[in-house]
Amino acid sequence: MQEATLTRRSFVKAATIAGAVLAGGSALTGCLQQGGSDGGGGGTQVGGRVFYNSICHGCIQACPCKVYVEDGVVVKIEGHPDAPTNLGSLCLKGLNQIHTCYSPRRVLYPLRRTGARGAATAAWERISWDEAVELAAVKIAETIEKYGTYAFFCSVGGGGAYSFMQAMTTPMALGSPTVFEPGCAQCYLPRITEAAYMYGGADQSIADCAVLEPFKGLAPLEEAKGVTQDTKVLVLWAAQPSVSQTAQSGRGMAELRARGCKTIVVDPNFSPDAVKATIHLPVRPGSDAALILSWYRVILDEKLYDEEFIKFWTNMPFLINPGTKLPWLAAEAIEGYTIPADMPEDTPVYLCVDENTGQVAPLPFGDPAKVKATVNPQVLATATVNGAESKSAAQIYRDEAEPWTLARAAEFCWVPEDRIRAAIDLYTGAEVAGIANGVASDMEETASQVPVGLMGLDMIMGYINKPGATMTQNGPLPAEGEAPRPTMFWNGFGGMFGQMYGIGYEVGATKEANEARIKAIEDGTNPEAPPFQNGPTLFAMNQLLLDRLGMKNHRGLYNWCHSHIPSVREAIETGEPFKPRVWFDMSGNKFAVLGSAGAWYNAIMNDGPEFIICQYPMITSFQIEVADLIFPLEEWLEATGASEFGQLNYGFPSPGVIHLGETVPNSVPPKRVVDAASVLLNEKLDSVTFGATGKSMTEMELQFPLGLGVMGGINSEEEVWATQIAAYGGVLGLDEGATREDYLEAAKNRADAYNVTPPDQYWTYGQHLVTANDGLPMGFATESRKCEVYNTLHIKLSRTGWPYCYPRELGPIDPRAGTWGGDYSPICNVPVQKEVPEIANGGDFVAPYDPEFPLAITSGRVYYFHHGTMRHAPFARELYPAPFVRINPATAAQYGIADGDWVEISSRRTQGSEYVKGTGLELSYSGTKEQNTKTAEPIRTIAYVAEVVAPGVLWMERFWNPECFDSSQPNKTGGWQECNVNVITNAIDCNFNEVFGSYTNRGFTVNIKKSERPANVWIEPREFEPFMPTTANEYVADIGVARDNKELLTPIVEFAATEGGA
Amino acid sequence: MPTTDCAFEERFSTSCDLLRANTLNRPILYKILKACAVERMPLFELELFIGEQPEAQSATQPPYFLIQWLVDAGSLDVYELDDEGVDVTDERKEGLSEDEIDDLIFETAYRTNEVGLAVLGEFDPTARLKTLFETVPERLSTYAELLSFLEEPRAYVEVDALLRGRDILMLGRDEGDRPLQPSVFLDKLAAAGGIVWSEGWIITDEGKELLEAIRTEEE
Repeated sequence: MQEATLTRRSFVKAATIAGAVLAGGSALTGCLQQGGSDGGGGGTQVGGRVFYNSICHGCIQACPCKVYVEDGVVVKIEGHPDAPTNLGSLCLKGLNQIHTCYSPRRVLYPLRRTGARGAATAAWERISWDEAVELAAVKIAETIEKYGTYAFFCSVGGGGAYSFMQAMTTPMALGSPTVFEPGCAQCYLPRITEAAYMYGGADQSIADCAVLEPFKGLAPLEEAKGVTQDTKVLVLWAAQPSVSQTAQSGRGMAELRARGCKTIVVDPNFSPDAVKATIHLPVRPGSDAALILSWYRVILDEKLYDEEFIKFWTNMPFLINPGTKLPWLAAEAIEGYTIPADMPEDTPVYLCVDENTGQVAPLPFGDPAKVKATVNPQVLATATVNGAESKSAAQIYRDEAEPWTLARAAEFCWVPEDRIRAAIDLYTGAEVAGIANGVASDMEETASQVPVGLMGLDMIMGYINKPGATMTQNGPLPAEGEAPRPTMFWNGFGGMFGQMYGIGYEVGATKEANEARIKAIEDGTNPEAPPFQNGPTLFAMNQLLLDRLGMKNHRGLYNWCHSHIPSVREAIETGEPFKPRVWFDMSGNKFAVLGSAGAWYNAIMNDGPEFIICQYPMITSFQIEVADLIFPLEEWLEATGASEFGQLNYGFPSPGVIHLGETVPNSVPPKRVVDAASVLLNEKLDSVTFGATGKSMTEMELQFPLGLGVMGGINSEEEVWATQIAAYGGVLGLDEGATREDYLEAAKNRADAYNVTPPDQYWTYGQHLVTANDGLPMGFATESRKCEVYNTLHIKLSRTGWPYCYPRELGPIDPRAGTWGGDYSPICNVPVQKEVPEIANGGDFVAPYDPEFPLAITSGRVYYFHHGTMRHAPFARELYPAPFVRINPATAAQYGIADGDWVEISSRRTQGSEYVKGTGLELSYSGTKEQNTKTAEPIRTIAYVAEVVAPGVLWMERFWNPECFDSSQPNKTGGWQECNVNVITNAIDCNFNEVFGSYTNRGFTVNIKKSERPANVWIEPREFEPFMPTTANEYVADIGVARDNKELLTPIVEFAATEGGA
Repeated sequence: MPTTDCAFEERFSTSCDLLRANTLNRPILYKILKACAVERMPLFELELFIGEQPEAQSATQPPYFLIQWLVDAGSLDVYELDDEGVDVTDERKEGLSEDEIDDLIFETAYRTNEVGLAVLGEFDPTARLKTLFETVPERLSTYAELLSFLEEPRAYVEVDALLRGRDILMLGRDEGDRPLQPSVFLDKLAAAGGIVWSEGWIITDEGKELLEAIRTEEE
């Protein structure tokens, strides 16, 4: 970075962001800053300033923007006017990226802990990169030599510096099955996975950019090309895009509503999207599944579904064998049945009741126009097959929905009956509509039930692969008659582990094809297999799947190759079945984002992991409390991203335009550490045990790193620049051999430096109707080739671990874990909610009411922050200094609480261990695994009293307070205990979701009372001065050093409120 | 930051937390307290002693920092001595400049105080091993066999080969659970102070004492 001469204050004056953010603060309704239009033809150089096209990384969406650099310092960010959804806007999270990048809390050099663990004693020394890599590698190699490969583990997630692929593959490269991420089962994994199980297509998440169709045709540039906006009715279920992704899908929602799209918002919170909704259903936290079943009841009874789609493109008419809970196959049920000659082996024929004859009949897959000539499948049906009364999948769904009349749903879910009815009518009455399902549902017991139910609704309505629907696919259509029927390969993100190591079953392909693939890998006869894909590697990777923590019961986690978080914590606490010992955490503040944070803190600080390696751009609660070594990572403005960033059909570059200290891309440390550890370990292959085999690596014919090592791991920034130049060099007129410097010179002030995919190659529909190379319609990537509203994969997964564990198997799940007679439920059902307020007519669907904790709480995001990021951004903290708990005036009055009061919130996690062990899993159903539920003290927050939640409901944002370990604090703390809702969430003894093991971040119970501001928490704007950005390329304040040893810590790492950074 | 002005209970709690939270350093922190419990140890002797201990191989910090952690936690007292080994007290420093004080102090020495002695009791390997053996009595014979096996240094692969496939690895596990890894037994014995890594797993003196006691009882 060029040497800067600005003082901290003059820096801020120079940065136009200051005015923009303050303006945002005075007009919070939009929380957007509008950028000026350059007409796409290149910008005007202002003084010494230049700008570069880039993509904001303030949240998980990707808003195209322009980054202005002056004298080597980023001074301004604004939305790119040509961006198709944010349309020139940028939200507070994006604008505040300058404060993040230049924060005095940045880690700019490798740091080694010199003080004892704990925020009060934290001290660091700067070391060289070589020293840091060697230290990490030595500690990893030492523990693996002492305890075997399972002693090493990784984690990721929590906001910023995402390293998903690296985190998933780093432990596997070193022979360990353990990796976790606080999101995952609690964020997006359930929705993306159920979409894969049910139809093999895009899921219903707006936040994760799966739902794109509603935002099509909003941009003037696209309208001019004739692209139309087709979504007329949109259901936002447990999603608040205007807050979570303000500039992109939030702006998109505003544009959508302005164009007349009607919206139904299902959310306990009166969010900005709920305020503008046509119909708002303020569902009681955690009761969504019952509400969904009430929709099914009405739609099935009144035949509001799309008749042709439900009959011929879903498995709802299939008769289900009550013994196996799987659809009857014609060949197994009908003696002498011969599969039609034109039906390929990879496409089974099932049974249904023929509505025309009333008899059981085979239902072959095919073009509905042809199939209906022979059979007319009945949707709601019951018939006797081989002596067993067998219901159609739709009938099973209808039976499950029986209790959920509109009246009872209203009573159970706290939503007026007429409003539920109006919502159903609006949704079903549209020519095409779609549901967008947000993160809230992932954070409850119903993490699998809700997405299964909501995707099933769009499926039975036929809202699939159509203009205006949310479940659509993008990209060129396959040519007619050329492509094979769709299949799905499993394990890892998008099946990457299947592709890497060969493990897993390719769903949709025949058993013979799968067996042949595996055999060729084992024999080494597969000519296309890479050198590392061989029998020993396949066996080793398969073993890791079997031994992964928590897979006994929660196998949906396989889809991202992640462990069950409470099971990892339990293993750390108990040392069984093996103890994770050396930890490489790759992003975020784990104490802010892990449920039951106090339990994690206790686990670490009581004979916990022996060495903790972190990589992150910031010092957060986690690093200050427990990190032993920190690798410095680039923030967005420094980081050159991958080539695929974009918004809709627009691809924008992501060049690193500045560089601070010795920071690196997040893919560098894992690669360097794994390579270095591998060198050490490969010298001892005879004495290093591969976990769970009792064999040495030599006996296993393996060496480190296993497989291809760290996926996405790189040694230097040049490698990512090469992909950036390959993707965007063309539009800038650069040759293939161009350098970073060439790019930055050519891209200067070029507003047109982006790529656009032609609309007709991107917005495509009817994929399932295209003719495959077997002459049949393509259909979907499921075994049945249809949308599996009745999720058959759940049944198989819960019994053997199929398709992930193939070619080996796990035994069945613990029958207490499954809500469908001991299996995972194939349809939406209402599992027992463990912590609930007093519910009238709750029946067996809720656990007994606990009057000590009478209020339901849920949580969500606010405009200013994403996940655990940016609490150190001073202007964001000025606007939102501490978390507010939203409380209805009636409830507030009941508890003597006024608007603006500090209040204390308690839950079972803060209130002692006398907890009745009930229906929970793992930690609660085994009498031998008693768990003290008191893991921390109650949290404190500020009351926001308004009609924004129902009486008896609270809502708050998770939080952490970096000021708590500022040098000015006389008693430093880690800042995660004071105001953090995750202290009270339940990841201990809740009813973990059966498929994914999701714990309960939302929809549990608490108590509230008046309290006082916590000692270390800042509120007043001037208090945040120490967080003001600095251009000094060094640390400028202290967080404590070992007493009297300052001269030994060179240079001293300090974090004080020193004026003038440079 | 704890100081020696704090009450006994607070310093005891802080010191115990220090040992519990800093897993890799715990064995050597314990040994420092134990070494300084007998008599004052000058810094250079103490650093030399630490360097000779196998537990120091795994420590994450240089000896001086570890000593200082214990001082900060309030379980190790520090003494400043002149070149004749006499204490440089606050009274002797009175009226002297900083440079004169520096000239006066020849070395520092350390002594485990009453808090440190209580910490030694809390983390006493013999007591911890007994507790470990009593917690799951069914595992006692395996612990004893393993301690005996580790009377000479062993690699983990040898320990794994010894225990792999045994029923004890499924003790207390529910049906369908994965078995315990053999490393569990090493982990628990090492945490209690019964074994240590020194170019291989090897029994400690305290481990030997307990093993002898078990053998005697069996006879």
